[in-house]
Amino acid sequence: MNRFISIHPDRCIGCGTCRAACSEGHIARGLQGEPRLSLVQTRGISAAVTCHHCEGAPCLEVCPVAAITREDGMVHVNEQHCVGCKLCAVVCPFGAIHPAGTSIAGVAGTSVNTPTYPKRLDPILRYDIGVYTCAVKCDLCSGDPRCVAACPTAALEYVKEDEIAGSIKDRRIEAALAAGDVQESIAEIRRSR
Amino acid sequence: MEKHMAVCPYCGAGCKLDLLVENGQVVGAEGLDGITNQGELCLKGLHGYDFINDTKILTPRIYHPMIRREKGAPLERVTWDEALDFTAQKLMDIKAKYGPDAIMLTGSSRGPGNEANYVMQKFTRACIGTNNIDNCART
Amino acid sequence: MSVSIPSLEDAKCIFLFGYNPSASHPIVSRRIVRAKEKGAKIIVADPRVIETARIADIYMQINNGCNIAFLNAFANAIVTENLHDKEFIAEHTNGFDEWWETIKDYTPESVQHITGIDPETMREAARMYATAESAVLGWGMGVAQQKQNVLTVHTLAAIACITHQIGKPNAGLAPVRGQNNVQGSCDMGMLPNFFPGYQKVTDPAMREKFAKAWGVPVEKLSDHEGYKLTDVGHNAEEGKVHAFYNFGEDPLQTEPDAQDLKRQLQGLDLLICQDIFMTQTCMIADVIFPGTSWGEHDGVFSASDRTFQRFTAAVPPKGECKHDWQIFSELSTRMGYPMHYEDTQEIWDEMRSLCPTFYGATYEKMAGVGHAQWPIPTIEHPGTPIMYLGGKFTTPDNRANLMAHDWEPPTELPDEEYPLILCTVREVGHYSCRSMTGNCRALSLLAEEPGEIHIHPDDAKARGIYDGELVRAFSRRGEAMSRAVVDERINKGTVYMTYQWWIGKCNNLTLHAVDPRSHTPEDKFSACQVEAIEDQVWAEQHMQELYTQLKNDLADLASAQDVEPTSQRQPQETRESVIV
Repeated sequence: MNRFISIHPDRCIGCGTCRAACSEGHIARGLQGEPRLSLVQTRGISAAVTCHHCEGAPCLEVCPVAAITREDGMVHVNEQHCVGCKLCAVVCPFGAIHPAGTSIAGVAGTSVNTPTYPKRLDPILRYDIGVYTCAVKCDLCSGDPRCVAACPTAALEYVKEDEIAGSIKDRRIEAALAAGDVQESIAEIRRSR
Repeated sequence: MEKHMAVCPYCGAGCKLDLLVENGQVVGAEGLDGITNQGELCLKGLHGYDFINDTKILTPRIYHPMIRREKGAPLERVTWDEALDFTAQKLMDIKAKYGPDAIMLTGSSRGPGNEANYVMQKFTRACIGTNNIDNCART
Repeated sequence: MSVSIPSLEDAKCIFLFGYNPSASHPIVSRRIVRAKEKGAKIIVADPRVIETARIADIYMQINNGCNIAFLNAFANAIVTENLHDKEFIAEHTNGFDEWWETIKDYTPESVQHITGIDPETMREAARMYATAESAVLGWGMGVAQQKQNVLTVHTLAAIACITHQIGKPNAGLAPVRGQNNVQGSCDMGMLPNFFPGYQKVTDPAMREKFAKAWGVPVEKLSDHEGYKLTDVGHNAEEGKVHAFYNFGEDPLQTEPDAQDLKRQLQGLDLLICQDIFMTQTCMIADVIFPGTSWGEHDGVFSASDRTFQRFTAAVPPKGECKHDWQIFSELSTRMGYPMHYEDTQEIWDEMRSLCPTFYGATYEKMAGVGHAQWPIPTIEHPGTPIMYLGGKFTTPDNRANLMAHDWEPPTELPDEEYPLILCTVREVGHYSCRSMTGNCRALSLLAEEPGEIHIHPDDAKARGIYDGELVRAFSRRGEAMSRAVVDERINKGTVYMTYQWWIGKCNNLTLHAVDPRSHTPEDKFSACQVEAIEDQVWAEQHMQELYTQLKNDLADLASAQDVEPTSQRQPQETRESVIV
């Protein structure tokens, strides 16, 4: 069984509520606070982009320490096992996995965050003294995605086996019904003969 | 966990929500079925509560009255009695010297609410005797 | 707003003009998404491809500062195509012929060089709006923070009137309020010309009523209008204002030309700040009163659509914080006008008894998720989601007065030295001066200093600026460091900044030119220049240093409150006491 989050771009208002919910949800579980969805805004589209939980997940294939596993239909990163090698970020076709770390500013005698690289640097190349980075990606909040519940316009949908089976069935019924008018008139013609 | 009904303080939409309280700290917010928001909240409504707990991420909360005894003097914490006496005297001095229109007040369109603003304009008009009161609607 | 926010969902057409609900009011934006799904036509006119523009049936990327030229031409297109409602105009409005005298010259073709809009597209939009079964015309700061703001509002209202898109269900005007309780401040008479409930201070009968209720001689109530907030700086400088009592705002962050304002406020004899946080304005205050925070007190807010709703305290007051109304009452009592209230309900009931428009809005009605939408004149009254039903306006003759005005260019046009237009906009995850949202963990994690400056790809390329880099923005007033976002959604020639940031403080750059009627600053239009910074690592470090310094300064100043007062000092002998 596969599970993932699907997006309705016409409902997305680009407000970022999903990202805030994602961040808070992971902090609450002792994980990195980095949001696992990114908001893509072009002239024509706004959409939250996140992990597809691919069947042939390249990130899982390349992980040298088996920190990425498939569990119950989703691709999961063990943030404790990750060594921060960034291979997964390089191979992901969606940019849905990237390294992140929590700054040590405010602890260990370092009061100020002293940047050593320009912020426009790709996350893959960033390095902060004393900051341990690990790969972060959507883990579907262990089966209860916070982003989906938080989205005020219902632009995000949690797709599980039951729902997608239902929605494909619905779409087939819809297709048949749309053809119904035609069938109705054919039946009418036949009766009149 | 306690729940306390509130209205989001962040925009003119007026979303109803419950603040969740544990051990005297606000720990969460949940949408309520208000006329406008129908249970939904945006990121500010859902995550805009922890400033109350004085997180000191940006700037600290103020817990005590403070004054500068003279222009340029350092800020000094004083009792409420002293702070109020000091201010009342200063305002009365200015009013006596320059008239009530030399005092200007601005209300708050943010967290305090309508009642606080009503009392402030009553203070402005009935006590100081000026209509020099405004709010941030212009900016 | 003449309509209610929920009614947007059932309008057949929504026209947004200078309003980006997705950033400023996501929950209003949600209603527009739902309206679209119910089949409504959506029209957007905005210099940026805002989120609603993506789902719009017609989107017009207008030039900055073209408002009245655009709207006059839009009105011209309606009348030229005979789409105005002659019956409604005859029965419910005044001055159509005179109005047309101004409008008739503004054809869509004649102003295309100002608006940037293809005449046929404008005509199509005019048809869509005028012929819709019901249409809501919404606007925001894109109208209000411009030089001709009040005049633009007159024009918008006239367009709704001539098409009869007002005075019927799901149709009307939707000017939204920015901060959560601006509507409430205005309702409560935090205005230099109105008592609570929009009752004029210049009306002797009103002064009589309030004087009697408040137990003061009528001569005590000032018979003339007061100063406006945007005048406080120059009034202080000219010696007209000697004391400024600043309640829960941070003007040094939120007002235009912040550096000049700081100098002006420092010249006051007395600056009082009543706040929950140490802000930049508190830093220069002579008196700081700690009020209770939202979440620590009860009260009522007024939403943009005139809806009163109650909120309650979740936690007790911290430290020595007092409720704001207690502070005012105690100060007033010391100044010889005793005030005392037990709770907010006592205050609310006094207010209701003096404001006929609000009288029916009782605490009982607003219990739980209840609400009361004014006008609500009696206890039995259900409230008023849609105003002016049946075309009955609140003028003496119940008719709308149509007003038209000629377009004027903005005050400070771009030139060779400052070739870009700076337009200030809203940040979805932060609010006002950021003292509240900047102290929230999740929100500060998503958007941090120095904020963003959105720049068109062509303008960025011409300056060697790359997406995500720190840049220097400057104008005739001052400068700020900001982070460039190369944005294909915006128009060329204009940059957009939000006003929450300390290091990226756009109000160091903005022009303090105010509209003569409303005294609202022209925050949407000032000339500026942006340049790349060569050494990005230096810039990142410098930005962090500045930010840390400012945070430390605020914390250091606030730490004065950690030193308990030793003993009541003697009043200083040098001070002259004059009791009035």
